[in-house]
Amino acid sequence: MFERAAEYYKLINRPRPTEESKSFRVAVLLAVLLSVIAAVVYGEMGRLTGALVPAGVILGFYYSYRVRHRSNLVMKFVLTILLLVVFAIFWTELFGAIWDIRYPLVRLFLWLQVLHSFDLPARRDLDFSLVSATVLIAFAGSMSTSSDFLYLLVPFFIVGLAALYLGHRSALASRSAVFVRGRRASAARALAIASIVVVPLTLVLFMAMPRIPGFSSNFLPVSSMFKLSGPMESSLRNPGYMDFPDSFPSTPLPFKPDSYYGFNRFLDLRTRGVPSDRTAMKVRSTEPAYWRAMAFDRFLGNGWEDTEKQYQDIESRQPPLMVGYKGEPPRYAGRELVQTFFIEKQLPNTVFAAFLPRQVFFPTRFLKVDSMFTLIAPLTLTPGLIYTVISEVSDASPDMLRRVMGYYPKGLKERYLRLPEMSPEVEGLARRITADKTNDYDRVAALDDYLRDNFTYDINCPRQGNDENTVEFFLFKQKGGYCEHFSTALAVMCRSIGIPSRIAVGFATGELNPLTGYYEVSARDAHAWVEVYFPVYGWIPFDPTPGSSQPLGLAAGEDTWSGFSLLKYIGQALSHVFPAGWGRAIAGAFRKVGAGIGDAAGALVATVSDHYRGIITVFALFLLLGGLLLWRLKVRRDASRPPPVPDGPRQRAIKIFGRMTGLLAGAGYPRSPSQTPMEYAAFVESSLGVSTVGTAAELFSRARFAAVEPGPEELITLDRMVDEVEASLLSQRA
Amino acid sequence: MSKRAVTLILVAFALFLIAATIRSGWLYLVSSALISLVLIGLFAGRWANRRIEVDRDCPSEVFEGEPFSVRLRVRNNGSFSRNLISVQDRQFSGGGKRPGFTSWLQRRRDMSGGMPDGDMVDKGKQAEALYSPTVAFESVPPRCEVDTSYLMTAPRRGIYETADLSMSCGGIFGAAEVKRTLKVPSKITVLPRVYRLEEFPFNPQASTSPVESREWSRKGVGEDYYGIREYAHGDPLRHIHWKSTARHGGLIVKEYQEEFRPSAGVVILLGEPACGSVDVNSMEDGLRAAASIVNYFAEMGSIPQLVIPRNGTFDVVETVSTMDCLKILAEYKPPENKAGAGGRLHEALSIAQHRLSPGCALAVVTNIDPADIADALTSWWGWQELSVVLALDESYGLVFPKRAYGRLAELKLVSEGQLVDVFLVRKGREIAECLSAPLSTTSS
Repeated sequence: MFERAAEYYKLINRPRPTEESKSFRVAVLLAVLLSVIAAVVYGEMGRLTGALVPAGVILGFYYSYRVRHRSNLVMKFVLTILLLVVFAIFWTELFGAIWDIRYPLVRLFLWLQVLHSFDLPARRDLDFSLVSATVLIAFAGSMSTSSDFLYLLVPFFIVGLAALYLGHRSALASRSAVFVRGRRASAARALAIASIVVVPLTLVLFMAMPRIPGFSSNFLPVSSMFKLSGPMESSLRNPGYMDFPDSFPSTPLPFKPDSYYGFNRFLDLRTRGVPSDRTAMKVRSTEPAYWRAMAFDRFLGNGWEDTEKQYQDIESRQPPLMVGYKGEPPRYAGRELVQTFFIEKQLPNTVFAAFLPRQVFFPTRFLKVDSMFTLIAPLTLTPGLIYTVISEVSDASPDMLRRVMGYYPKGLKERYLRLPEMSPEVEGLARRITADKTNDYDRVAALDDYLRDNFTYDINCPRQGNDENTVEFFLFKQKGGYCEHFSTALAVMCRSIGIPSRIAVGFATGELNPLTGYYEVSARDAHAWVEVYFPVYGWIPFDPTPGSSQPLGLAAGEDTWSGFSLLKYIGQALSHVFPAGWGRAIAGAFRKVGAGIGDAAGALVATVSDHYRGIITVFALFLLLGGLLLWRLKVRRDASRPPPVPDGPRQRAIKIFGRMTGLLAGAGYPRSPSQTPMEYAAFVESSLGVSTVGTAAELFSRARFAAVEPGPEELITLDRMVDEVEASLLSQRA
Repeated sequence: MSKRAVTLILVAFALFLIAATIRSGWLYLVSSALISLVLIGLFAGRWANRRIEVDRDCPSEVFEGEPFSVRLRVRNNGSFSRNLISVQDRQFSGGGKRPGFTSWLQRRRDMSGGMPDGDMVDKGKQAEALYSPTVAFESVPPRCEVDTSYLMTAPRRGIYETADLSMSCGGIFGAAEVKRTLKVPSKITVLPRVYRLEEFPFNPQASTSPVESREWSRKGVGEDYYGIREYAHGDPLRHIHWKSTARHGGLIVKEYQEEFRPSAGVVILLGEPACGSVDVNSMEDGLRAAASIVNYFAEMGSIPQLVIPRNGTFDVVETVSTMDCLKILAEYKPPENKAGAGGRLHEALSIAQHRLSPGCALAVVTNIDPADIADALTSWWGWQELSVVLALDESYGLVFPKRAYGRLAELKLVSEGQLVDVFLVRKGREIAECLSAPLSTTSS
């Protein structure tokens, strides 16, 4: 067995013919360089690596070309040693980066590419370089957080396609005895057309690819640890509101477009303004969610207050920081959600995450947490910061919530049912809406639906009076507002009928960029929603703001067909080309089409995955496709067959004579194609001594070739003679 | 599916899985691009193969092992140019799938076991390039035709009615390959290879005591004028000598004769081989030996008559030229019934003795067991000078069995006793060398 393995090793490693095509080598070199540059830029490899790697690749390719006919054994030996060194460095780096192995992996690939470029004699080696360049640029893309990556990806594809063509051409020329060259212009035209066709097909496949959940992996990026100087902050600090008052302000807080005023100890419902659409952060998550910052428990009438004063410390020498609060009630029906946050602008020192965060991979050893699971970081979030959170999101279904029975933890109802003095009409309205509901979940859902259906979203709604109750203003006067008003109204109405609730603030999901795979969250996505407490299942989010999805319904798989959202980006790009009106219409149309196709695909998959209907549907589809294919094959086969011979006396004579020749062939006397019937008969008669054969052949010749068609009697006679031949053969055999 | 297509699909699938795990849209995009390359390759290959016609011209007769020129014409009847098309001439490959490494490996294992080394694989590929050359066209413009010629070699004798041309196109990028097999009428007769023999037993004799009362010329046939005689029923009218008829008052015809020439015969009893490859085995080497002997006899002035198995017995075939003999050898088919080889040899010899000219030089080419030959020779009492060429089937197998030595020794003894020269053709020795020295002069 060892000998066979050695023989096989020698077989697959025997010297191959060298690759002589310069153009192919140059194309591969360019592709490798682009991939290497992409990896250096997006992998943040540093200036030294950024200079050495491309230079090494160029030098390696040149050296390989010069020594391609030599055995190059010394260089192979040196490369082997260097390879071992590179792997040793990789393993060392790996242990220090177990939560995100991409960077050490990309560094390994980069140096492998450099080393490999010094030994590229054959086409197989260049093909390997091309494949590894493709993998490298793909990994570079995974580290890119913006669409700027296209500026490297597009040239890479152009060069890669040229390399594929040149390699294919070279391979064909080398394995052919004769290679007939054609006109360059013709080949160039074909290459251009094919390249153009690749683009739309790639986009269609990209959009149609399902975004499946994937495997669970230890892919938990986090920035390098910060060294803190000084004691840790014990309260929330919003960089946009540094001079925040200690008590609720008598006049509305000033509005700052880049900084959400809700990330403070008080949430002032009188503040008005339109936030900017500058990107605040990018989130990589396996499913959409709301990125919660904090919560408010006390309603003041025209604002909310976070009355929490007691924080618990969380400390760990290495990630993760395990989040828990002493005395927190048990919680069931949760599932894991991994999110990675890439901070793009300065944000308050709170750890944004889907509720309920459990493990935090943060670049500090300390965090603080309060009873409402607001996580306070020792530093404000600055651009470039990366952290990962593993949350336990609720997996409770509406049916489970309807049937819930249990006890509320001590003190919870007192804290989260507290309301200031307000008009009894609020409670009256709430009770009227929920009069026919038999459980808390249906009551909350009814209130949610009432607000969505009867109130309008208006970011520019007029401000209420300084001391006016926001809920009364919203419900009975304005009948419109934005997320804070809707959430406040729901929370207050829930409290008024005895359902514990509070307000949570943070960022909504954001916009999924199908190219990068990130949720791009802007300042405009700052949002407020309601958390309602259910025994056993804990705090469940509700969002009564019209136009937003229910947080509970943001289940896994909602972005399975999010690839079609690329159409929206295409529409946006096209809208810049056309005049404003047309552009808006085009952008809107593309957005709707993308959403529609995505919904249709999701519905189709849901139908197929449904138990019996799915199986039958898939089976029927297969039958249909198989039937179509078979029909097409049959049509083709019939078209290639000669037309059937029309029936007639001559044709019947042919068939009868054919029967005789078949019998004689079976007896070992086949008829040669060059033999006439009479010659054949003479041969058979002389060999077998069956005289009837000659007579039959004569009859057949007359029937076949005479001007007059044979009559029925002749055919009968011929048939009888063939029977006699058959009988003679049988008797001879016997 | 080609290796390149499989590689692209595997890489695309791996990137898709990684993309799903780390939720990277760019990886989905790269994966989509790779799959689209494969799809375009399949579509372009299929489309490129359509509306393409291929014509092939080659000589009608060639010798095996000798290169000959083939002209290929590719015509594009479509509206767009076809790029990077390859046409493989598989006339001598028996059609079907091109033997790749695996099938070659399997054959190698079947024959001699073990793993082939790189040299053997490369030699195999070189041989394949010789017998099934590929012609590639970089571009065939629309509604145009491109022609070229190439050399190819026939690996073994036979009559080939059609040529299988395997046309493949992988599109412009070669990401996938679509093949289409065309059957082009292109008849070619491959004659068995002829080795020039320096000497071979050839002593045809005119017997002073003919076995039957028979003259040493045959009258009534031939082209040589013998004389005139009275007309007999059945004489062709064109032989009537009118002047003599006018003088005689009755029909007089001219008579012709065929002079006695030293004659030779070759008896061929080659059965289906049990060992060896398709191109090199006891039957094929036997036919090459027979062709060489035919050529030698012809050079000596006598086109031999061939005694070959047909329809369960033996036929004596007389030809007028060496090429005709070689054509008969080219289309030789082994007898179906392998049983009773010794008896069949005896039957062949009897037929040869009765139907061939007395005193002709007779050569028997066979691959039956040496023991059967020895049995047949033991009862041989013919008067022709007889030579036996034995293509030893077992020598083409994995291991040469030791028991064969004993049978060869026995044959050698019998042949010496019967004054019959036995020549041994075996694998690894050139046929001319095998036919240069009989077994009796060599050590077994």
